[in-house]
Amino acid sequence: MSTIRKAYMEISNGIRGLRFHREQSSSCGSSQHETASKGCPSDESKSGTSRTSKNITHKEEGVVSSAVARLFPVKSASPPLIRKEVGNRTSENKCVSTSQSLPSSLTKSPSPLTSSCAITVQSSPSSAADHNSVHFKQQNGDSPPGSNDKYRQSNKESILNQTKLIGSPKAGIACRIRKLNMSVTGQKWAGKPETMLELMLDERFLSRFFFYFSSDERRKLCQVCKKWKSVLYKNVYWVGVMPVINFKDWGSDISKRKLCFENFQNRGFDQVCLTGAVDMDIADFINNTPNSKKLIRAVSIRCSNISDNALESIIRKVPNISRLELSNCNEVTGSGLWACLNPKIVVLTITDCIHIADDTIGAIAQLLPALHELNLQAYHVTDNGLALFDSKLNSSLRILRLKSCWEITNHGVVNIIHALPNITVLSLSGCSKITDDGVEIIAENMKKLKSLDISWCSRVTDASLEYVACDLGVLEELILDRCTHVTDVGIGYISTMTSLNRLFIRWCVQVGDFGLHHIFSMRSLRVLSIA
Amino acid sequence: MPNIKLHSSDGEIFVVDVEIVKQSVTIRTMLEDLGMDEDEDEPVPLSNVNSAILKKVIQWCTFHKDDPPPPEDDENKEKRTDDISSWDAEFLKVDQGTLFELILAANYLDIKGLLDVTCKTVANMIKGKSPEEIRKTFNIKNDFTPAEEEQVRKENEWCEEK
Repeated sequence: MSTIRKAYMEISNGIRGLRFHREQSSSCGSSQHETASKGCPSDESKSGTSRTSKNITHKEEGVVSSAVARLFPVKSASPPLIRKEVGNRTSENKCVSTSQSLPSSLTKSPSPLTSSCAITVQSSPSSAADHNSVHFKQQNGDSPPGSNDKYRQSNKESILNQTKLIGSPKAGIACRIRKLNMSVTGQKWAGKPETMLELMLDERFLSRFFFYFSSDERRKLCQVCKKWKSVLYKNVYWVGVMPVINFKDWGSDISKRKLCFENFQNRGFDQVCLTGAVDMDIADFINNTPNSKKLIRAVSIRCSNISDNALESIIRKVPNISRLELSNCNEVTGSGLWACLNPKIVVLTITDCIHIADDTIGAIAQLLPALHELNLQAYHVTDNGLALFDSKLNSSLRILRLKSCWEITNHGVVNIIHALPNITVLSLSGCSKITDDGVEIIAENMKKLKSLDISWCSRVTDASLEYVACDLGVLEELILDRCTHVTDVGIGYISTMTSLNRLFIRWCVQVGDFGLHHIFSMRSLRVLSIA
Repeated sequence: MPNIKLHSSDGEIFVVDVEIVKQSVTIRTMLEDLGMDEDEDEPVPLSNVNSAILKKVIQWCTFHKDDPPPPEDDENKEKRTDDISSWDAEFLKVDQGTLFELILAANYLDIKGLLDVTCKTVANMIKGKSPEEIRKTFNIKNDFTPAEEEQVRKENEWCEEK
């Protein structure tokens, strides 16, 4: 007991020395000193709080630490005993400060004891809690500086903070507190959101959260509030999205248009669809989006009465276009395309443009050596047009879709197979003049074909399917919608195809249960469409 | 097995295996920064997490303690939300308030797996809602002027996805 008492005296002396030192340099003024001498425990703790890490000198610390080390030899003293001692001491004025200061100086003590000491300090009045907690909070650094209010409310919080400070016996007080201070200012523990509202307006969280939505959903999220919009208007969220700018909608309000183009640029889209445009709109668009010209890879122009010149200007000024779509652009002519087609174009889609005819195919064949995919829907394209393809020039063409090109006959098919041997996806949907002979030619010559679409070819019968089943060994997709002459027999042929995994036989009225039985035996089938 | 004490914001102390709570990057960093030994006994205070939520968090971490570390995120890739495991789905069958507290705790404690699964759940909650409904869910104020709102709506009215 006596040794403990002795140790306590040393500690309190040491602390007093520290306090004296501190009071000389402290910015807290004399009021705290006075209240300290009155011996009021609450004020004592206040004075304790004015001590910051900077004011503790190593020397005083050394005195205290050594005393403490003697007082609390590693893992030998029993917690209850110490608690009682400290409890006794709280009534004495001189040693009141020790009850407060003990926790901080007990850095060298073994952990079980420190926590118990800390707990006893809980008996000190609660009014001190806020100052106390502020002080310790600075040292702890585990809570954001802005959330002081929370602590002021709870007395127990101070315990929390004090226990935090008691750490490893390895380092000295000042050193450890300096380390903690550094962590406070470091990013790790600073300012994490505390309420759901804060979280939903926290940029860091939102930028990760928005990846859980598809681009489609993000369009709605942009409209929630300004913060969400600003986070979302970055190009990472808009990959693969094609915004549709409907010029008719935007009218002639220049400022709104400018804003639209600006926002378009901000989101860094790499594709765009312009509808309802006239020449001026195209020029407007090009002039107002200087930054995105390099980014845009795909342009789609629909329902627009733009002239050849406008088309030429957009292709020229947006140099990286690799995918072009023209749909319902009735003023674009073949010669226009001759003038502007750029060899960088890899995917070309032309639908519903009345001036497109055979000479366009010539232009395509000649000017686009790297063309990989061609989707054409043109009512005036004939077999001769298809003859304009050249096997050497267009060897890269893999996907050819001639939808509703109803002038095309079996001759056209012959032209295709001669010129384009590498085709893997062929669609002659709606080419109603194609007959079984045509399909036979395809089957015999296009061994690499992976997808064949002969839907709406009303002259195709079961014989075609026999050819297909025999020869197209790697065919994966077969579309026979509305082939009204196909019956169960034909389906029987198809069911022998082992590589087929997608089959579409909608509106084939003659296919019945028997045919379906055959289909069910197909192991490889993944997609089946029947209507 | 070394234990650690966690101290919730409302004063409860939880004793947990250190390996379990190391899923929390925040706690792991605290331990490293303070140079705490794993067998030291003072509680780590978690000022932003109350005891009810901390209990649930510990429950989640205990169940998932043997999970392989989550793969490095491809930062710019869209993430699925339909692949929540059945245990997690049961675990998150709680009222909205608790769910929000859990996501806050997961964010604060930086537990990647829990944050991931709570984000997915909250995302699924929002999907299909109109902007006004989303605002109501989180009490977000609409700070657009009517003109601005109209502008944003028009810009986002129609996008195609290829």
